Parts: sequence; structure tokens; C-alpha cells
Amino acid sequence: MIMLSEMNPGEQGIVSKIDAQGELKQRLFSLGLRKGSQIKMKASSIAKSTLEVEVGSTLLALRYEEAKMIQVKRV
Amino acid sequence: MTEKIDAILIHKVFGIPIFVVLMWSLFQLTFELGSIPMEWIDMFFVALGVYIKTIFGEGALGSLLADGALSGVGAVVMFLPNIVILFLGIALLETTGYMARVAFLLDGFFHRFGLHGKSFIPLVTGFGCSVPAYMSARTLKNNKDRLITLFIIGFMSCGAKLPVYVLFVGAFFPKEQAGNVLFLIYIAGALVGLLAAKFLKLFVFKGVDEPFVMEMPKYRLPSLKLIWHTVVIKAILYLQKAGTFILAASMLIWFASNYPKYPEIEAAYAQKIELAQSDEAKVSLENEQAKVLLEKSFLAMIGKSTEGLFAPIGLDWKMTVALESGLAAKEVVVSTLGVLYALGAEVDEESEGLLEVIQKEIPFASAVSFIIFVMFYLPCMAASIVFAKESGSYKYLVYLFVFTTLIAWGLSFIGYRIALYM
Repeated sequence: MIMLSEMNPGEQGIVSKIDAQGELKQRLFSLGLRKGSQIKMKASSIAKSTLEVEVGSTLLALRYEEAKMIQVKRV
Repeated sequence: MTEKIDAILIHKVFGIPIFVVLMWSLFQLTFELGSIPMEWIDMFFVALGVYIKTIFGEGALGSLLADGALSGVGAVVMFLPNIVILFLGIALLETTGYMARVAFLLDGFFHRFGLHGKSFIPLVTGFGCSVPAYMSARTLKNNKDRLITLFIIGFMSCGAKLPVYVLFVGAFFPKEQAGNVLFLIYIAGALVGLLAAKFLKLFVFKGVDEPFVMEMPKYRLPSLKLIWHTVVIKAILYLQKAGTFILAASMLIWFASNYPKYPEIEAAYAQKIELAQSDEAKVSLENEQAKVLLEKSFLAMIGKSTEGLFAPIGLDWKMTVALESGLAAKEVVVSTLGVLYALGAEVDEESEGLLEVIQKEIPFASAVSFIIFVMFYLPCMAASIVFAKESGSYKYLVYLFVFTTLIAWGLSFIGYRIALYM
């Protein structure tokens, strides 16, 4: 088990737990990021401050802080 | 496909440089390409002004229409080509899906200053004109993030401030340094803007950051119809502003600088001009008359009544009133200075005469103070009204006034004192 924030570009995994509350959880859910979703790390910006991930067929951008709330099981 | 483009455009190292070059090209295009039809529009309005004077005469009505309404509206309509090109470029970047990538690239940097990645679109637009910049801040969903962005947009020097900078930098700095000083003015404005954002985030609009979770749209070819539609709407709105607000403001400034009338003084000068030997003497008498009348106009009364507030930062009543008329539109600052230094109203930033007069009559330290004040004080009236609408309350416009005036005054004071010792 690792956090999404620790994944390197190219790595894949399955979301096992989301630590977010309220609005953020809703937002992630509506974008397809929930327990059990397939996730792939695509790219990160300088100093890993923002990350690009692929969930299903959609591309998402999120901050390092948000990625720290998402637990992933490597595949 | 999207993957391949992303490998280049959001590249860790090249991503930001590519973005900077794209924006630089957009601005080059805006100013270079925009300046061609600009000259035609300028010529058209000048010709129209002459024509109007032949119909309505040289009297008050002709002067109000030609020198007041038309020159004011013309100065604004002139920038329509620039506005259209800028919006065309921004619409292209938006509809292709590139803007989302830039927000991704810049979020880390902006976040440190309490701004959101999406703030960059309004801030960049602010270098063109604050009005569309305030409107484009709507893309920020979080109210506090949006307010912080709205508050600092004015620090990105808009196109209308350029004539002021060109005039003063040209008058007080050697030619080979002028370009660098100009560049420094823009960078310094943006930098103070970022620091101000940090301050607002820490002390005023506190609160939890809006999470940055955003869908990255797939790249797609822009729809011509959609882009055409966006640009046309922007152009119509801009012309509407010129035809309503700028029209009213120009006539007001014209009135304030031409009234009250003093028939005795005018009669005395008319006699002198009649008797003058050469054309040169006539022109200098006409200029002198304008100066004397101006000293007694409403505009001068306003300037002199607030002179005391600006004395500590080294500005006299003329510079004060130029700043105050700039509240209507920043373009007015230069033409007001031209009138005030008795060279007639037809002065633009390239006229040698005004440059030399300013060099002689304004001390270096006061000029520095003036430039700094223009960089940071309240945006023009049109922009202020849009600001109030976009922020949701006129209460915020009062805050903006206090906030920008304090920063402008404080930094001018520092700049003035330092320049005095130079």
C-alpha cells in the first residue's frame, strides 16, 4: 500500500482508500476516482507540486496534497 | 494523440518555457498586428473630428463633440484590433484544451503566493485590459481565490498605462536604458501583485485552499463557429463600452477642463492674438491663454483642493489632477498632462515638446513617484464598475480603493525619498 503521491510516472494501481471529506470527496467521486478505480500516474510538474493521473479514460490533474489522501495498491 | 502532445506541452523542463514563448508570441502579435488597423482608425477619427468642426463650428458644441466626445471615444476604439487579436488567441488556447495544461504547470508556483493555478488567465489578460480580466476571473469557482485574483489584477499594468510610462521613461532615462526600465516597470508591478496576493491570503481572505482537482480535457481542434461567436461578442461589448461609458467620461473631462468660462480673459487674449506678428507668437499666445484658463477651470480647482494629500510624495497640483483624471481612463493621464503643461490637447507620448517640458518642469524624484503611483492606483472607472459587479458588492470596490491607494501612496513615498538621495 502506498499513497498516490508516492507513485512514479508510468506506475499503475487500484484505489484502496480515500481519506478526503465532504466536497473534495464528492468532487473526486464525480470524476470517477473512488475505491476500486484503476489509476495510472502519467506525469508531474516541477517539484511534484501537481500530478496528472489517468482514471478509466479521463485525465485528471491534482495537487500533491490531495494525492496524499488517496491510498493505492500497486498492480 | 493527447498523450503525445502532453509529453511535450507539460514536459517537466520544457513545459513552462513553451508556455512563455507562446504567450510572448501572442503579445507580439497583439501589438504588432494590431497597430496596423489602429493607424487607420486613428486617421478616421481625426478626419471625422475635422468634419464635425466644419459642421458645428469651432464653438462650444463643435469642441465638445470633436475634442471631447470623439477624441475620447476614438482613443478607445483604436484598441479594438488589439482586443480582438488577444481574445482570439485566448479563445484558441482555451478551446483546444491547452489552458488546463497551463493551470497544471503553474499551479505549484501560484499556490505559494496564495493564488490558484486558474488565476493566471485573468492575470495575463490584465496586461491587455482589466475589464476582460475581471470577467475572466469567473473561471475560479472558489469565492476567496476569485476575490484575491480580482484585487491584484490592477497591478498588471494595462495597455492604457503604456503611454504614461513611455512619456516619463523617455524624459528621465537615457535612451539605451529606456527599454529595460519599461520592462522593469511591468515586472515590478506583477511582483508586487504576487506579494499582495500573499498578504491578502494570509490576513484578509483566510481559509482553506480550494482543492485543485481538475479534469484535463482531451486536445481537440477548435470549432471555428464557437471562436467566431466568442470574439464577435467580445468586440460588440467593447464597442458598447466605448459608445456609452467612455463617451460620457470624455465629455465630462472636456467640460471640467473648459469651464467655468472667463469672457474677459478670452477677450483680452483674442485681442493680443489678433495683433501678434508671427504665427509662432500666435501659437504661443494661444497656449498661454489655454494655460491661464485651465488654472481657473473646475479641473484645477479639484487638483488644488487635494494637492496637500500628494505633497509628501512630491506631486504638484498638475500631476495630482492628471492622476485624478486617470480614474476615468488611464489614457486621459497623458492628454491631461499635455493640456496642463500648455501645449494644447493634441499631445501624445511621442511629441517631443511635452517630453522636454516635463523634463524641465518636473523633478526626477517626482517623476519616479508619479510612475509608481500610476502602476498601482485604482483602475479606470469602467474597470472599477466591472470589478464591483464581478466581486459581487460595491463594498469590495471601497476596499479596492483603500488597498490600491495605500500601496500606491506608500510605494511612491519610498520611491520618492530614495530618488531624492540619488
